[in-house]
Amino acid sequence: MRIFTPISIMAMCGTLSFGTAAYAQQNMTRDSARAETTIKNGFRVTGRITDASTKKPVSGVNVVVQDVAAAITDDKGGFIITVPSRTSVLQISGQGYQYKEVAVNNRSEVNVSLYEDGFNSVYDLVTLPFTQSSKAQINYSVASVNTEGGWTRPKETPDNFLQGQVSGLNVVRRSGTPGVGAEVFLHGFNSLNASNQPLYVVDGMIYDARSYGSSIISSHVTNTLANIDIKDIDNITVIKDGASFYGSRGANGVILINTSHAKELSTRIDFAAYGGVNMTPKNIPVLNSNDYRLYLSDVLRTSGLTDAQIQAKPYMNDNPTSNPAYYQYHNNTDWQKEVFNKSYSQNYFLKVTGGDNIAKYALSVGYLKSNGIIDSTNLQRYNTRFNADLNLTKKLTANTNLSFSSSEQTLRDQGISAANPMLIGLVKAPFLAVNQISETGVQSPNLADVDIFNVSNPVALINNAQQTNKYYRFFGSVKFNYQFNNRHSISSLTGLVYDKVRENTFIPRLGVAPDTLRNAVAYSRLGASIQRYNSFYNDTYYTYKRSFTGEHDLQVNVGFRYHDSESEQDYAQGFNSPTDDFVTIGNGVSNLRRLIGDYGHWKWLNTYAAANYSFRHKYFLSANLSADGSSRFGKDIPNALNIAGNKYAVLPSVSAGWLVSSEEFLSNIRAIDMLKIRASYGLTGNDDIGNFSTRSYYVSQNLLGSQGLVVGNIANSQLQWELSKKANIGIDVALFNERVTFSIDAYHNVTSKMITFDPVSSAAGMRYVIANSGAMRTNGIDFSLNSRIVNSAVKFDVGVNLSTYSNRITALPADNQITNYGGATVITKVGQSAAIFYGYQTNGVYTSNAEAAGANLNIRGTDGSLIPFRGGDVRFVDTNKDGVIDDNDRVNIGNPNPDLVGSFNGRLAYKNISLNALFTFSSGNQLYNRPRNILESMSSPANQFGNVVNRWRFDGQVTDVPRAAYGDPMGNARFSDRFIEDGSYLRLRTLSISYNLPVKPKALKYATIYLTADNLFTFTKYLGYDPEFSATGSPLTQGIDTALEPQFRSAQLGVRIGL
Amino acid sequence: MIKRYSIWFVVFVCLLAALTGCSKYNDKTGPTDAALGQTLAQLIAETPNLSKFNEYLVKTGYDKVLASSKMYTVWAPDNQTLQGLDQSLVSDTARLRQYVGNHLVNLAYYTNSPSPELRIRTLNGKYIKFTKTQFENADITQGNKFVSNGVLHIINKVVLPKLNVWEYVNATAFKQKTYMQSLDYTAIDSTKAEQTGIDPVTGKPVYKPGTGLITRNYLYDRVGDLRNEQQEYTFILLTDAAIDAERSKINPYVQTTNSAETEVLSSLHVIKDLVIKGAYTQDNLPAELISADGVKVPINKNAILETHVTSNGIVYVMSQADVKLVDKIRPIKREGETPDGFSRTDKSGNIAYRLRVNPNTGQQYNDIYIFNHKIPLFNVRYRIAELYNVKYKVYWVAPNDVQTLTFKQRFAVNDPLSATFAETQVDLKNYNQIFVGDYVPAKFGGVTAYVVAANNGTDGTNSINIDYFTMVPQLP
Repeated sequence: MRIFTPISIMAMCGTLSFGTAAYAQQNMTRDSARAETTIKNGFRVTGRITDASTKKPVSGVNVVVQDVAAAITDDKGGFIITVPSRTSVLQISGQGYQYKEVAVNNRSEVNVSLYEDGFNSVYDLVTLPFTQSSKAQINYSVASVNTEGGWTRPKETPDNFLQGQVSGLNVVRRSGTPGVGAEVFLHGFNSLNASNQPLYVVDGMIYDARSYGSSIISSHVTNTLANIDIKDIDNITVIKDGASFYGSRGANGVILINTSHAKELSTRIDFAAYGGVNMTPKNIPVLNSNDYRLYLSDVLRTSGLTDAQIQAKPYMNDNPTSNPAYYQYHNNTDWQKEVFNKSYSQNYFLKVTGGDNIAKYALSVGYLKSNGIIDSTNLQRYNTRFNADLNLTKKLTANTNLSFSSSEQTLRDQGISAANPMLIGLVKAPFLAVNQISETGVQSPNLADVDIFNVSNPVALINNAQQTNKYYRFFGSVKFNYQFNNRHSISSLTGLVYDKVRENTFIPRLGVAPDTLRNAVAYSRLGASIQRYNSFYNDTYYTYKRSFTGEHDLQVNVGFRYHDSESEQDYAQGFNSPTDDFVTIGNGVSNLRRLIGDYGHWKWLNTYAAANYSFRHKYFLSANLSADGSSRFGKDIPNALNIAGNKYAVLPSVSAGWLVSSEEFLSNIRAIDMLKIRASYGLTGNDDIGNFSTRSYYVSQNLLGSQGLVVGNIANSQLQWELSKKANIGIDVALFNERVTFSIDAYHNVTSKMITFDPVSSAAGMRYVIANSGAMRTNGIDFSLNSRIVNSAVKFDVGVNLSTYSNRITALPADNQITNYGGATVITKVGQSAAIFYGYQTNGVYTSNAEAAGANLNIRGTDGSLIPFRGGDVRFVDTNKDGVIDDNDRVNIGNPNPDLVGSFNGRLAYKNISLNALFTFSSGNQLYNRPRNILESMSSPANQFGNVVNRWRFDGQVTDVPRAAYGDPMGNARFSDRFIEDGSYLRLRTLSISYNLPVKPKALKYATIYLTADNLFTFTKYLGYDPEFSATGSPLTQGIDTALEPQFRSAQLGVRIGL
Repeated sequence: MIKRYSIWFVVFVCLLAALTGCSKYNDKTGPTDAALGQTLAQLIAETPNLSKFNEYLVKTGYDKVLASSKMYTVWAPDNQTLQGLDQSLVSDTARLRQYVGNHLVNLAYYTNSPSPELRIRTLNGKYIKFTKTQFENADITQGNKFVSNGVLHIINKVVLPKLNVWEYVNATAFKQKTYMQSLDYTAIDSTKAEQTGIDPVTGKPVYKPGTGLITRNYLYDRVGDLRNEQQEYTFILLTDAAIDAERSKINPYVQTTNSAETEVLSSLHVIKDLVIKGAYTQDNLPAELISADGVKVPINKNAILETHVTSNGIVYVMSQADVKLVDKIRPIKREGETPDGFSRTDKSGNIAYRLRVNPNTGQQYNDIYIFNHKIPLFNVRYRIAELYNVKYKVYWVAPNDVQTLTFKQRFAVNDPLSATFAETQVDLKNYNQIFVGDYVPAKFGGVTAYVVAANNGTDGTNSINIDYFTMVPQLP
């Protein structure tokens, strides 16, 4: 390479190859220039740098001792450097190569071979709240994810993107709805009733990723993280242990997202365009017209209809001449096909970066349109971001991160809702048609109305319902940094969020079964909602950073964060507009209109001090302390720090690390590149205890038409944050010149003061008081492994992430707590994991009346009489042996927590082409298949699951499907282990191929073609559409399938060009 | 090293292939029993022993019915059994269809369904009887062979479709048949008639003459249609001598002005009590049957000459069914609280339908009490369907339990102003039956009875009160 003016070029190369936070790195290298001359009694080290795959020497690589010395390799890869100490660490970086740190360790010759840039290395730089350093030097449990621009996976939201990337992070996508995101659980659960969502910090500012208020579109979640375009993200850091970086908001871990800034001064233009296709899911097998009608005769017979009455039904008369409704009732419609459709997606993205010595900017704009697989649903989003780095004076610098995103989404109800077209598509009688059909069989273009069984026409919902969600968020911050000298600096970040969700819904009356309200029948349903969230954020801190004699490094940060947030939701529901042409809320019948609202306002002040010390770059010690005040905390919390009548959460943490591989006794074991042992212990908190739970408030109440205010809660002025104590030990190892690297972490998290709803005496007039009476603990192990298997012209990498946890409730206000959700019952009980499915155990089906009589089991009728089971009923297990099957016979029948979750990934690269595969899996978790429960209830004229052909029909028939019984008088379809299924799956989550086109440098800088497929294969025994779903973020509702839009296969073809 | 991993790769690919090879639904949704993948038509076609029956199914088109997606039960005679079938029936497609249809019913019935017996309508419209072991009189040799659209039982006897009661009677030469036919009359069924316009005066529809005419039968109107396959009857078919004896017994009491009408009424009033709902087999025959009119029909089992089981009941040919006149011509009792009308329609506020307690017996009773209406000769009327030509004694119960005044009320027949019956004093708190007077109808037929208030408009003295009245025939 050319002539080297070491320091400035080094700065450039360094920033390029690290690919992160150019700004911090620049400071680092600038400092090294000033310090270089001070070496006394140095120690001379020589060495050679080679390419790990070609074994050829590499020239032009920087070899640096931080702040002290620097050298550059010559044509033969050789370098000579004088280091201040025999324990110094050489930092090696070169364009196109990985960043690496090698301890001198008393050697005079250090030979290093480097992998290419992008290699998954233990020396990768990790961004932490105050610093950026090599992973090998960090004594916390962290994981860093480099999105590599996100070009191959343009459709992902940041939360979805994290799936399978980090061990210990269980990412469960909420549903297949575009942009709806995922529930992210780090190290299992920490809370029952408060949030389990990690704290997201985007560009140094807390990004409140919770949605405030609930969608009026059934089962929809507005995902705030979807506002961040994956292609704007530079890297993501997951802090897994209790490092108390964020005090009373860090209990669920912290995820730092850093968006990309300009890395070089020259203007670069990146443009990418993608087009894709979304495939419909495989049908759930339901009965066809023939089998359905056979089922129907069986079930109608049990409803008390006589043979003649059944034969008189229009669908039973097969004679077109005598039956005017013959054509209406003799079809074979695949309703699932009517509900789902193959759809298309497109995505455009333009990024311009550049600048000069004073100001650098990165401007991006993006447009995404992704149609859903439920017919006529789609998402359109526009987003733009402006990130700038300004050198205002020599000492004063500034960064801005401004983003704005606006989306409009057309949705349909999901979940166990009467207007969920997907669910209706499963139960709708297949012999009916989509459109009206005349007596002579002529099909009308008009849609068929509600059918003879009072089931809606799902196509009417798809075509005529209007459910939209319009959403925008502005998220912007400005950060000033004043560098007094190379030891002292002060930074201050100020940011604003303005966020608004507007939803409008209209469910038509034609073709939709009416709903019964308390005082009216609802035909058409209308709704409008506005959710608003805004916040002000400030983070100001002072940094002291010093290196003593090259052996001691110290950094101290002291500062405070202030966060003032306000949220509001108002929504209105209306019913029965005059005709289906009147779709806005004002047209509903006025005395049925409902107006509902919610308001929240909270403030959080976090003062913190953090000290990081390292000795000889191999012994690390950190201590953090935060003291948090919050408007949510009670005034009478016992044993809490009291300042001016306000209670503060004092949350310290310590962590230590020992880089064993830098010890002399390991310096000659060449197989070990890096071996580090870490341990940390810290206290964190969860402030999600309700904005006003510590105060008494009033809610409005309507009584017989007059409006008034009533007390809404029992104030608990002792209510405090949930306290989470986290202990973590870990080991990071790199072997055989990083051919194999792995990390193992074991953790023990203890939550105490857990928020619970403590039952109170009914004389109190309230059902519960919110208190800190619970406790739980979660233990677990994370394992991640990366390996380069083939290292030649073909490069083949394999990685594995595994995580497992076990959760145990240790304290509750009562012995157990039973929660019902989506047809499931879960029990949370002291001594066992939270939210275990709690229902009836079954043991097949009584083959005959005689056998049922022999079992001598009954249910208790509403009048108290005993009703015996008969042939064809489910053999419920009478666990308490009292002869009656009732609530007392319920037992644990399944655990929605997985035994093991993780991922496998593989990367194959050859010349211009590279192939990435990511497999994710979940093992040992059980799911409750609510849709199948509905489909196998055999209690109504609803269509049934395919196995209902095997229903019990005559004495002595051996089958596992009970009899058809109208209204299910014996409760055969009750919540039981019949509908608990193994939720294990292995999925080819993403397969992507990218190909760098050979282009002439003059026309284009580069051009790359991407082909990406998502969810290509899913291997599972789960009988629903898909085993991955999460209805809410609560641990109490995990594993309950509420008929959400399933995950689907999709593929995108994209091209990116650089100008 | 590469080798080592390539093994894993091969293992992985195999795993992939194995997993993709089978759908997760395959072993969950298909019929677990191969039989559930078949239809009845297929099952019968594939059963060698039923080839003959299958042949007839195909010939009559019922094979398509049994292949459809509706539930059926089939009792199929095996080949040996069908050898005994009359060949003339086989060659007559209409009769064969009738025969084959007699073995097919809608919905699935297993041998555990009857408890102890089921009577099910077959596809030919007739009803058959099914017990746990028998189909009509045939034994079920193999039962409960279930398939997707129903169940098959194999039987060992030819079961021909039976005649119904009417068809059977019609095929005999008994006089009773002629008497029953004589009860036919012609009526208009407006739903079947062709409407030509609307009468501008009455607003009623005008039908085209000669359309909508249907034949009805007085007997069927009274006791139910003997052609109705759904209803089972026990029918007593009397020998000619016996029927004439019965007719002549009733004849004096059904006299009208028209002798032909009297003849018809004699027939009707004999035969109506010979039709009893429900099939009583000879073993179950009680000593006397109760007809729909509550008439006791003594059954002398020795008088049973023949017994015929029909598709809708049992016909006993009997030489005697000596119904006593007192059983036939029975007292008529009308409850006061069920009137058919009043002389005026504007007094509902003065009419009380009461539930009272008789303090003497503690029993509850319902009555009608009309008070303070201020209308002289206000009346309440009761339609009485038929009175025989015999003297009736009239009694009533009129408690008058809430007034302090007694009053008078009068019983009248057909004409509320008629003074045939004298006014009767209604005493206070009298819960006993009071004789009101005698009545001899001029001819057999229906009448209207009235209870008429006193001829004044004074409250308390023109009340009407009736718990019930009864007309007791005075037979010789």
